[in-house]
Amino acid sequence: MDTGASDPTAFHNQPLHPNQLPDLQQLEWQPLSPRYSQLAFWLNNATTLLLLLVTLAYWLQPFWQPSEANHQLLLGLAGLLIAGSLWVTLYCRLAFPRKRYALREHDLSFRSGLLFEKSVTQPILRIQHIELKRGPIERKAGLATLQVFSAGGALHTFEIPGLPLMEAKKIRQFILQHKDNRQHD
Amino acid sequence: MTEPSANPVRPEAQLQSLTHWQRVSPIALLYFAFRLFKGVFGNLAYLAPALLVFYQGIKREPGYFALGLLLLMTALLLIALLRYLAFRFRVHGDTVEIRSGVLRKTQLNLPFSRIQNVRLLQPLYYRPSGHLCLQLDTAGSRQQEARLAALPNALATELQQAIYATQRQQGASTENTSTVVPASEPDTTVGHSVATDQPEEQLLCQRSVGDLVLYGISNNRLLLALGLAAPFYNRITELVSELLRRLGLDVAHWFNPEQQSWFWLGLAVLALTLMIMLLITLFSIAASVLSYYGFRLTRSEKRYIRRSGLFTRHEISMRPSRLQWLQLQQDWLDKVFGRCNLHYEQVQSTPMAAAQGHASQGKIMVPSLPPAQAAALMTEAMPGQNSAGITFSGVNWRFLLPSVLLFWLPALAFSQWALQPDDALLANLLLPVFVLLLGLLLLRWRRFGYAMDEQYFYLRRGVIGVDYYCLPLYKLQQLSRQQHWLMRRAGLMHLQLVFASGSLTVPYMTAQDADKIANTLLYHTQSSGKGWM
Repeated sequence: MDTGASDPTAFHNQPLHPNQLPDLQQLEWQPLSPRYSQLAFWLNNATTLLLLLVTLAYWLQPFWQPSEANHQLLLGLAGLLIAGSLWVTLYCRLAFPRKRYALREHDLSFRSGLLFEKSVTQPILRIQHIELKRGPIERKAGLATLQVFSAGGALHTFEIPGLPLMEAKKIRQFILQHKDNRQHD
Repeated sequence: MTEPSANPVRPEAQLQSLTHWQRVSPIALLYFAFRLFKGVFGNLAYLAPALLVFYQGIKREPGYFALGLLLLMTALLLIALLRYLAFRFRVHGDTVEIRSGVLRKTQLNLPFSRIQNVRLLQPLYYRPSGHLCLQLDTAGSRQQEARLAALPNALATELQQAIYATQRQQGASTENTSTVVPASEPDTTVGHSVATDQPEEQLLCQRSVGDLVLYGISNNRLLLALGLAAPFYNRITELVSELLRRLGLDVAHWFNPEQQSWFWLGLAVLALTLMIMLLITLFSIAASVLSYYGFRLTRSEKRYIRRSGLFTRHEISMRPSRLQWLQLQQDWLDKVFGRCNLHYEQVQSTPMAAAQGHASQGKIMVPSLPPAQAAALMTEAMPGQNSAGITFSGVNWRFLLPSVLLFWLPALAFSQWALQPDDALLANLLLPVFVLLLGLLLLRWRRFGYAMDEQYFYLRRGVIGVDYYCLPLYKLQQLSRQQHWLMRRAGLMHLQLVFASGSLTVPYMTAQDADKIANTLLYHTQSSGKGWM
């Protein structure tokens, strides 16, 4: 690993033409599986519905009668929660289908966000290890989340959610092979 | 090319005594006990307020309290003894093996090649007997870190040399360079104190006590501690005034506006503030001298080595390749003195460790340098860097908008609306504070600057003090570009650069520059073929 880096005195001065560099503006963005945003939408709806049902159950039940002030407070809180949940549902409905990822020879990129757009680029050379994460719902839907760890720390874990399992496996293979190639150079 | 045969034989012959399971020197018992006491009583400090509540009880039954304390001490000593007895280690081949734990036994196998750093510590009480504490750092988690609490001086240095020699051999096999250690090296270090230079080391920098005093004044960390202690102010002042009253001084009387004129009150407050500031500064100077006394930064062929400490001598070493970025830090008092501090930032072991401040123990920082010396050190570590001469580009004025619109203006409007009718004086007094805040914000905006040349990316930031960062382009770990739709319309972007030592963000730069910098960084990272550590 430390062939060149351990000798910082080595002076190098490669010629560089800024216009010829690979440009992040020209990435070919790929959509995630459409099932991913659908799933998120239904899950969000289910959460909202659950909150509504719990509130309704509380409203109708005869067993527990708190004081009038507390009753109002609880209902207000429930209302806020439901409104928040609806807002999240709406946001995800609009934002999730816009999530994109892009693959180049030497890096992975992921773009997300509706009003505030963020695009992260992870050079493959700097990847420490890779994980495919699949929760129970993702397993049912045949989806997977690809997690990539670099030395940048846990806060900067690069993640592409909502990939079809085959595609995720392919990307993982691509990264692993890339690493192998570099090491045998 | 005698190296392969000569080098391994020597240390192995002398390290023979470590190949069977053994305990560390008995003096380590002191070390174990100290650590345990520190652990227990250090946490007890949080319980101090509770102890105050029990104070009455303690006063009533001092005998039982003393007995309880005695029992506690005995128990702790016993635990320390058990821990000492349970701690056994050996050096088997090229691996350090450690068995420890009284109830929960653990065994740790640490191959030499996995050891990133070997730190030598010498607490004061080890000095008469000439022992050293050897700390082995790994890149992994904190549980993987190992300490051999007390080894005779000669043995510890030998083990350190043996570990480095093994790593050098492994390095040499890939690097194909002849990094031959003088064969006499282990012998020359035997019997010397830690601070002795090895022959191949080149002295880069030394700090005098005068420099450390300046550092102590300008880097007043105790002010922070004072802020953290705020919840206890009331209790502390009560205690102090109680104490003073017993001495026959009625302090409360001085600060009572009904009994004193405004002039005297002001004078008393001023005197008190000055006295507290003086005390804090003195403490800070003492702390600075304590930890940096005899500061020497040396460079051997493969390592930077920092040694310092008045009582406990610390030795920290770092491979130059592990250096992620250089940070030149100049607080406002540093500016007054015309000094700056140079941080050699390396890989952050874990975010938790960094948050708890443990990271600073493994970091190299050169305190209170004159700018010329700092520039020389920076060039030594990063040849070709031009942080002093390069022209920085500023960030867009829209940087100010979120803070002004979302915090400054609403806070100003609210405070005036709420206070002006009832307490016009207070509301008017707040106005200069808001002007000051705006001024600081403007300063922060003006300070932001970025630049890039063929090898390095430079960042300047700060409010009154300034921080300069110098980052080698190819050590990038990850980058992210962010913008919201208003920024997109203005052609602006935030650029966040993630390195192994942390992340830096340049806010509100032109999208054109952000893209250019991002593309160049990625290109260098991917094409240089150089590792980041």
